[in-house]
Amino acid sequence: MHRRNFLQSVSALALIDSERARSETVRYVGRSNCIEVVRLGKKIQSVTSSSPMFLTLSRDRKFLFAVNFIDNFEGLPAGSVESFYIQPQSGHLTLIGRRSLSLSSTFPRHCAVSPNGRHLVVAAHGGGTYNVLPVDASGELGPVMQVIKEIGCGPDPARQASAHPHSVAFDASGRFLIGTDLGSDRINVFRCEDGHMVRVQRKSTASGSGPATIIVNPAQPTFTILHELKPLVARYQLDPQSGLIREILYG
Amino acid sequence: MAVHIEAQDPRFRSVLKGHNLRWPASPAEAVHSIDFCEDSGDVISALQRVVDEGRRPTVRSGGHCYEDFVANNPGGALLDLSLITAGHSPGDPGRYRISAGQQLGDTYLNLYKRYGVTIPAGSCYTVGAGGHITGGGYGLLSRLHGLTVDWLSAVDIVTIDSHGKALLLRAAKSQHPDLFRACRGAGGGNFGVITSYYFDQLPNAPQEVVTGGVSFDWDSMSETRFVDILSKFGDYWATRGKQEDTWGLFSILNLSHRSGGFLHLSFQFCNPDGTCRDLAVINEFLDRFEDCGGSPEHLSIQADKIGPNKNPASVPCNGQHALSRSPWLEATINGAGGSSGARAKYKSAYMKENFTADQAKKIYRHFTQMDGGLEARRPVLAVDSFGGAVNRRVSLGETACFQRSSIMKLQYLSFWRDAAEDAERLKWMNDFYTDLYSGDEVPPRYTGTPYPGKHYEGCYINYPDRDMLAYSFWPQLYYGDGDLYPFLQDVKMRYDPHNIFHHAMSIRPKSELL
Repeated sequence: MHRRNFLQSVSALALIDSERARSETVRYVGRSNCIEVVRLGKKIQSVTSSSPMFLTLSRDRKFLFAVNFIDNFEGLPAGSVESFYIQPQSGHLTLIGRRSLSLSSTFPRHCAVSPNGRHLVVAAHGGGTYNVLPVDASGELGPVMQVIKEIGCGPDPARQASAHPHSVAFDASGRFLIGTDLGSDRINVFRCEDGHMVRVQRKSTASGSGPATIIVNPAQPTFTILHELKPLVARYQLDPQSGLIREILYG
Repeated sequence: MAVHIEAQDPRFRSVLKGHNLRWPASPAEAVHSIDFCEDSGDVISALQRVVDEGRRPTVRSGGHCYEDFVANNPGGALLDLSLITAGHSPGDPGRYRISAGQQLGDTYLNLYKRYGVTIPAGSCYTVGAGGHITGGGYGLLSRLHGLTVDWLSAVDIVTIDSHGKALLLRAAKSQHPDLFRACRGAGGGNFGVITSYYFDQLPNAPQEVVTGGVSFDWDSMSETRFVDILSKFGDYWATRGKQEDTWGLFSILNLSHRSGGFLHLSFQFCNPDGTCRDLAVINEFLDRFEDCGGSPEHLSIQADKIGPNKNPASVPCNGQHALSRSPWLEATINGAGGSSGARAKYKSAYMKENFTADQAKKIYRHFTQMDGGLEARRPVLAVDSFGGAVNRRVSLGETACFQRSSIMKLQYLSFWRDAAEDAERLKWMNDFYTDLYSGDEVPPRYTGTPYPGKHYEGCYINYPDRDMLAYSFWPQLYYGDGDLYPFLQDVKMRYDPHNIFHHAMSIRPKSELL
């Protein structure tokens, strides 16, 4: 992906809605250099943020997390993540803090908050890593507590020269983390032990398919993967005990 | 099998830190495990395991890295190579082998006793060959014999390929030539784990040297005299010191705050043939400082410390200057600093021309400012002679050391014990350094740095300085603004496609997104 393409796509990617009082929808839109807060179709705030590629809310909707799609933070080769406090009535944002990812974890593009709200897992496209950061009760991010470096490649020399973690999502039970790796055609499953990720499985997808987006079924132990490099959609079943996954073939 | 230890092992705490006690900065920054490797096979299996676990490896030979590149590796794995010390064996691609874990002092002893040769490398006994040589390898004999990498003919290096597999490669001019060139000066922690260095040829070690020094008393110092001393020192290297008969002369001018009492000039000298039969060059050099009010002293020479010569083998020479004659090996081993651990900060700068009067005045001002009793904490500025054989153009395109036009190399040093002093120590040195490179001779966009140009030639990667990361052009300070850095980035992409080996100032992959 080239930077220009990214900037064109960021607003669509980093757009989330937050249900507010009296069903007023507040919408957060990531732009190249800010996050806009929009209510009833009207921009009510713009907060500075560096390439907020992806936005997500804590489960209690008190905090917003932004992933900064950058490759240099404070002079070091790393991306960063930010957390914001959401004003309960208005939906306005207040920056709580910004944390560097680990060295070489560049161009992060996705993140997931653990169901208990105490950890944020980030997928860094550039460095081929997952980073885990603690989140305290006030929404403040702590320093990176775990780094998992993926190694691998795929047949597409332009997009798959090395591993590129693309998306992360917790399963419905919250015990397992699913990560897609677009660069190495793999789906990774980790068991989450109080924020420490332990690998359960590395599942290969079709060669050159580029697994990307994860859609978790909230009611069942299944999820769907949208692939980016080939027009593929695949469904998987996750064993709630072991965390092992298998593809559900359509009859 | 490598010896693998983790936090619960009683050895762990004792071997966690390197010589710069600032790192790991906190227990949370420390590695998860340490593997003591004894040969390339150990490195391959330990590295493979670390990569398979998805952890970050950092590599240590002597543990002298100036910055946090090795010891700060939260949750990562430290590969310690200090037990890899094997010497030459049949089948080696060169006549001489230096293993990555060998300390420089032991290397000098081994090479001398076995073959009568040496490498023109650093003066600190306990520095490990692994990191030192791949960063260039410079020392007291570099004016006479060039950089250590100028003599290098092959390396063994363990890399991680695109599939994540650990491979032992032999890089030389004939195989993996680009990787070989990159290993000749780009610095440690970039492309893989170097386990052995090979040399087809090495220079004969000098038979004997004379050492000595001159001390200049701060009590009677004036700005005019201070400027005069610096100017005379720099002028020598800019003029007479370029002539080949002087290349056996190496000298350090140690500048420090007036509260320290003295400035020290120290030197080591031999003729190009490795003898001290003719002392005309050293006498002529010292004659230059005759009217500077110095006191001759029998000093030993060290990069980080100047002290009275305690070498039992040295014999005072007769004559007007304080010269002590000793066998080269004695001077090299007994004079070598052990540098016990301390909290430390360093900076560097290469100079292509003499100090200007304005610069010398700036240095004088910093070293005479009083600071409520804290002035003694100001850094030391060691001005080393440079050039000579280092500046032979033949080496320029074959190595990754671009600094081939300088006459002096400056090292800024500060040592302390108390972590509470960290902030002010770092600030003082940075302010001093920034001020020194903010004169008219530095183009405005590079102000605060010795950016390569008419006057300066950047910085030395073996003296890395994180403060330079504040400048987007920091790679050009260490690798020049020519094609060397893009070349190194290309080597990085080819030989470490996953950027397994990285630290704050490692060669950065070309951004795929820009």
